[in-house]
Amino acid sequence: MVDISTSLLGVRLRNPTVLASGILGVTASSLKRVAEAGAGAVTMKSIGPERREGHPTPVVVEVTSGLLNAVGLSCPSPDESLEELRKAVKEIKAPVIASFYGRTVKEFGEVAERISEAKPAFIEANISCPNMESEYGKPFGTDPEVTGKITEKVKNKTRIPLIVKLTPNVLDIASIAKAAESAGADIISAINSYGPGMAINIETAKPILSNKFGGMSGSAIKPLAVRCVYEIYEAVNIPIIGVGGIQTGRDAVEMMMAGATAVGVGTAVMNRDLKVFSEICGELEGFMEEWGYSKIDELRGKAHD
Amino acid sequence: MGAPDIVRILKVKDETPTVKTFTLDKKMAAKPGQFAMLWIPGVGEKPFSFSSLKDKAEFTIREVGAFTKKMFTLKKGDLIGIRGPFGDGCFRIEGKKVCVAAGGVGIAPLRPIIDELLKGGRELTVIQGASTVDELMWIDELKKKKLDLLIATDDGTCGSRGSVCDVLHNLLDKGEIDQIYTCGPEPMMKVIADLSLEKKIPCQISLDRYMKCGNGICGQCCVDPSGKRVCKEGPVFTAEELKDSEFGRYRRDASGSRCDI
Repeated sequence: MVDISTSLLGVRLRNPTVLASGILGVTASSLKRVAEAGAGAVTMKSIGPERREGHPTPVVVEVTSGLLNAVGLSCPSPDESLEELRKAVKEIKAPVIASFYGRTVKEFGEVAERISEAKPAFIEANISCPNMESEYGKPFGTDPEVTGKITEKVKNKTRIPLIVKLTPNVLDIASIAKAAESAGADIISAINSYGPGMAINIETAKPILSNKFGGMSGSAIKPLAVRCVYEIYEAVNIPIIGVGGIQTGRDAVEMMMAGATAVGVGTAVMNRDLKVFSEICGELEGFMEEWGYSKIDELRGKAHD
Repeated sequence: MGAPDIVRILKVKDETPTVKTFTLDKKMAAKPGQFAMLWIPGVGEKPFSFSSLKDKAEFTIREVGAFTKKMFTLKKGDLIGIRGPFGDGCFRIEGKKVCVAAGGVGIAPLRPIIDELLKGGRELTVIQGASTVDELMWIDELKKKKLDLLIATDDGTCGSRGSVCDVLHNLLDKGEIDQIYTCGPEPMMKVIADLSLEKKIPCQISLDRYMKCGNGICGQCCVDPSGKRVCKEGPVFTAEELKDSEFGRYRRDASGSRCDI
């Protein structure tokens, strides 16, 4: 028998699949359902400093081998978000990750402090949303110095282990990961969606997304995500959650061989629905049995020299 | 998920002073109760149930907000985007003595199931409720079919004065209805659902929630406490499935905040 359980900083995950942020994470009951469908851990949609409706629809459009989205960081008020998060932590057996964002370094600290009251297993700083340029300036995660400042600010405000989620839209993602690690990040999550990208409807000559541009996710970005995780693994000593285009157990193996301890699953829900979590686990076990692996740790970083 | 297909509007028909039917140049293999996302470039994208599946896709829409206001300016020959059909949870053909209870424009998603139910030679009663006589729809069409039509209006200008719920209540007291289908304002559907549970008569409900992706990944339309997605496991649920849920109590807006119903 193979053992696909894993551990993130001592927190046990019964399997390495993690529901990625922004997918099915609006409500506690939805997250609970995903956990019951087999996810090893679940991430609640990013909580921000104030209520936001996000961008007008359309906010998603399917493209070849992937999805463009510009949901626009919608979230209820902090009070209501906190209530939903408390419910999720209370009712869900799997570890709950609370994603969050701020508009300033200070706000990242404030929101982190607030959501920590709900005692999620981890908090995840979303410093990498690609859809917020006009209002929020370039994603914080494109600058190592700002990444470090946010990490430090958050670490001073909470004892809950901190995941820093990175954007791939940088020249040197390893240096950003290192900056986060040096400032005290406990885990790196990589990557957020690519781009932004764009899809134009040619009959009407109009951009499809109301925001015009949207982050690219899905199979198309998997090789890019695998490369990012590989580079980050070489640069840091903290665990990595590898996210980006994982659809199958084989994809999960590849991501772990690049260096991931756990793997995020998001857009694959579009293609394989909620059963994607248990199916990925089954495929992962099948691969491990066939190739003589007994523990998930044996896969981690195996592609490195 | 897909991307919107761009199609021409073949016909726009005024149904009532506030409701129009749009026929699109698109054939879709949809089932009764399913919906599609309609996109007006530069305005938005919203979910609408099919009101006819006979030939071309048809949507019967009431003007309620910015999107439908713009929709009402569209004419024959204009272009619109469509993706779908969505909703694995469609109306299921059940029962022998069946009642379809519609409130307002809620008759629209029920229209395709009425034809399906009649195919099996069932005894069918349709209750249509509206605020006033001018807001009733498809009365002539329904009268031609082999069914009992009961009408209720808030102001008593046609049929009995009062609600669909009252008419249904009377019908259940004397009849042998063994299946209920309903769509309309949520408070009405909640009363009907409770009534059906009390009388132990199965009831199928077409539920409306704020949707973003329309295809099961964003999580915006999930129902508490089951977490079921209106766009995927719905939009049709049984009264049993919605028992002790948010149904009839609250829903969520674009931000995810709860709003009372």
